Amino acid sequence: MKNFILRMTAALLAVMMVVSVFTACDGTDMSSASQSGSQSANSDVSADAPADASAGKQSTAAQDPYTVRILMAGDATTQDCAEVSAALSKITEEKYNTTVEITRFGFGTYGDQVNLMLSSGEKMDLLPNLGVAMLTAANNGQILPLDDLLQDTGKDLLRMITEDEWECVKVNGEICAVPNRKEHGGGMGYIVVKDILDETGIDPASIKTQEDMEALFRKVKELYPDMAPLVSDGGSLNWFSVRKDDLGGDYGVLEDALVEDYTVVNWYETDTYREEIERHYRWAQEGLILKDGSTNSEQGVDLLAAGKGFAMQSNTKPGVDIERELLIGKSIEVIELVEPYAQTGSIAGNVWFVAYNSEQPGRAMEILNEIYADSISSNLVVNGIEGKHYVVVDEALGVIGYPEDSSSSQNGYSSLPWAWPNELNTYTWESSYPELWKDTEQFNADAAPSVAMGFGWNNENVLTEITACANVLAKYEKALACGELEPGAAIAKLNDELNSAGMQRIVEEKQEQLDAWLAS
Amino acid sequence: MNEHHIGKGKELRKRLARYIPLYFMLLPGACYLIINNYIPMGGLVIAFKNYNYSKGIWDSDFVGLKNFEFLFTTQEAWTITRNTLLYNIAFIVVGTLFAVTVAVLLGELAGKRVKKAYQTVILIPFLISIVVVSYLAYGFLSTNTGFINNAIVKPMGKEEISFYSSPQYWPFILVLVNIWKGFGYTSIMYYATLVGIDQSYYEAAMIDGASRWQRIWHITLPGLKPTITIMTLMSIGKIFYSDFGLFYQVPMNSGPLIDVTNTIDTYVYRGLMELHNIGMSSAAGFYQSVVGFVLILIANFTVRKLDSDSALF
Repeated sequence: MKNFILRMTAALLAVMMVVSVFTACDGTDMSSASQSGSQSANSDVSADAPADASAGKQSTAAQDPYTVRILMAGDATTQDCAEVSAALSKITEEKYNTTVEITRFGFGTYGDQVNLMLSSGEKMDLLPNLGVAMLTAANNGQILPLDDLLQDTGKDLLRMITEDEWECVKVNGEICAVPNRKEHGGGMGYIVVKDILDETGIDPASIKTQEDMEALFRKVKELYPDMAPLVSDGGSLNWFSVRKDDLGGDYGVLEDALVEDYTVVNWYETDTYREEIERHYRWAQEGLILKDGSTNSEQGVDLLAAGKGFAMQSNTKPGVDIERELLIGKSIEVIELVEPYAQTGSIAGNVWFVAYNSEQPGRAMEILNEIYADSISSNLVVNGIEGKHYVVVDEALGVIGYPEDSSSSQNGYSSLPWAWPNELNTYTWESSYPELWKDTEQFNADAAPSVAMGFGWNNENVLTEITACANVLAKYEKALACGELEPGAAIAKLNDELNSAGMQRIVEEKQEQLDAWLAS
Repeated sequence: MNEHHIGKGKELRKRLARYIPLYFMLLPGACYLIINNYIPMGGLVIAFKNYNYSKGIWDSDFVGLKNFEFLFTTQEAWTITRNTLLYNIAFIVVGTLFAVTVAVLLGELAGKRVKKAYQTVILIPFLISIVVVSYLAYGFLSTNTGFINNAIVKPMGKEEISFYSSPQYWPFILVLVNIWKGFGYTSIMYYATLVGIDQSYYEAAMIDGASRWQRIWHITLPGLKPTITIMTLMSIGKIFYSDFGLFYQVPMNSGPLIDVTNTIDTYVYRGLMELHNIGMSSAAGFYQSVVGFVLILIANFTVRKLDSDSALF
């Protein structure tokens, strides 16, 4: 009898083990945590008949039902995303018989999650380019070309975005993304803590060049010997008082974006670069730059907030001072050294894609069109639901604030205007200022465009060289920028290694493409 | 004749009845191995393709060895292979020496509680995350606030050493950190073998008048030989891999140190972070695993020739 019980127990355990393996193998949904509750209520069966979207408005309301899934970054609870999705779906269902499902991941995991979802072919329709570079995505077939879709269901987008702007988001002649409506361009400057600036008695308006900044830093060092006048931002001190056009990234630049000289050069071999690095080296010797700056892993805003630094580098645009003040928690002043200008990357910097595995790309484009063109939809996705995520403070000026019992950290749907397709037709927050969007539009009109605006570069042929150069730069770039290496010898070594890594090949390839683009 | 058949049938059924539960127990592990380790081998083709998401794995363009170029055609390529190999050889040699020494010392300790206490303490570094370890190292090596500079170098009157800009110290620092982190785990494995050595050998040796050192040299070490061989063979299989955390985090990703701390894994990471090229990174993984496989076959063959008992297979 005892023998029988023992054998039965053994058999039972064996069966349990086998069964447990197979239940674990049952297709686990990678992002099951983000499935919103409303999904089960909506039918997301893709229609067999293609949506006839080129016919009039009447017929779009009579299309077969479909759910467009939108991916986005930023903190937001599943519950709040579901509510916003439901609110937006009410509008889109009436117009297009399409429901919307918004899924958001925190910034820390967004890049990994999205790349994973793209690899596994999980359902998605629209996504922004955070963590998914446009050029790579287009060459890898992760996103769809949009020319035909825009003609079909993206007519407002075609109307509201200029031909020049479309040029900036083309790869191999095909439009691959929709550029966000936000500031297009930037200048370069320093963010400084206002109180200390006042103590030095120097008038910010009098500071126009790096030499003036040097005098300011020396003064600050006198007053506060233990504070680093200039800090690196996560190890990087890579803004220079120059106006170069990066020509789509991956090395090879135009030295001055506003001068009609179309010679592509290796930025690290230019005299300008050498002068700037020599200046940083001098500053580091005098103790004006944070020690071990290149291995510093803290953000500049955190160092300023903690009183460990006085200034950090920054881009400049309308509202940047308010943005940084919120992060630093102190009053700050922006000292601009380079006037804003625009390059292709300014427009292609934040864009939206249609994923390659979207079952109905035409419907996805329809929804993207809706969010871009219609301010009610735009406000919904950017700011959330009125009353829950924000309250209107001033109807006439279009200013909103947090509801009484809430605050920035308690908000279940974080507001990231710059990341959505159109921020300029949404409300402004009271922590900012009401004319921000108008100023942005003015800024865009004023920013001088680069002579190579619209040039998009394709790096397919030089991937090996880019990889090798990336490794060489990893050795020198940050340390040089933070003034930790003696420039004469280090820059020479850097360029030697870059050349043996194939930098010339990249520059030649880019020059070829630029010349071809100019000729067409 | 019939009896013979019936006899055989009964034999077979009896055998099956006895072994079926064992096969069932094997099933989950086998399933896991097949699904997780063998089926994905089909993905090795990605290393030879220009992977396009729309086309999928099988329809993507075949590009031959193009994805491997970035690993071999540059100056860096020689450096990273050299670094990976040399560091791993140092880890294997010094690590094994150290772990065996500690295991033997543990064996020589008298008192069960003392042994357990030491075992627990030396295991702690193994459990600490490498990122935490990199900050512990920073606490020692930092220029301004580090322990070494403040407590040793400056009181001696010398100028402070900027460790994160001086490559010459780092081969030693990395070997030290790796040994410190890993020796607890490996020495306990050797110790487990050590306690299995028959005590009567030691008693016989003591009667014969062997000194402590002679006992260790002639009984303990030969007893450990099979384990040392197996562990070393398995390490050789991984000789082209490296601990990413050790080579990227501990040097704080500092530029000037890259020549001395760049391994194949960190090279691929630094090169492809922006490009996200799946074909190229698969090629790197392919290179590492295929070379490791060939090396382990050769090493095992050599060991089998010398001492067939100690070979892995």
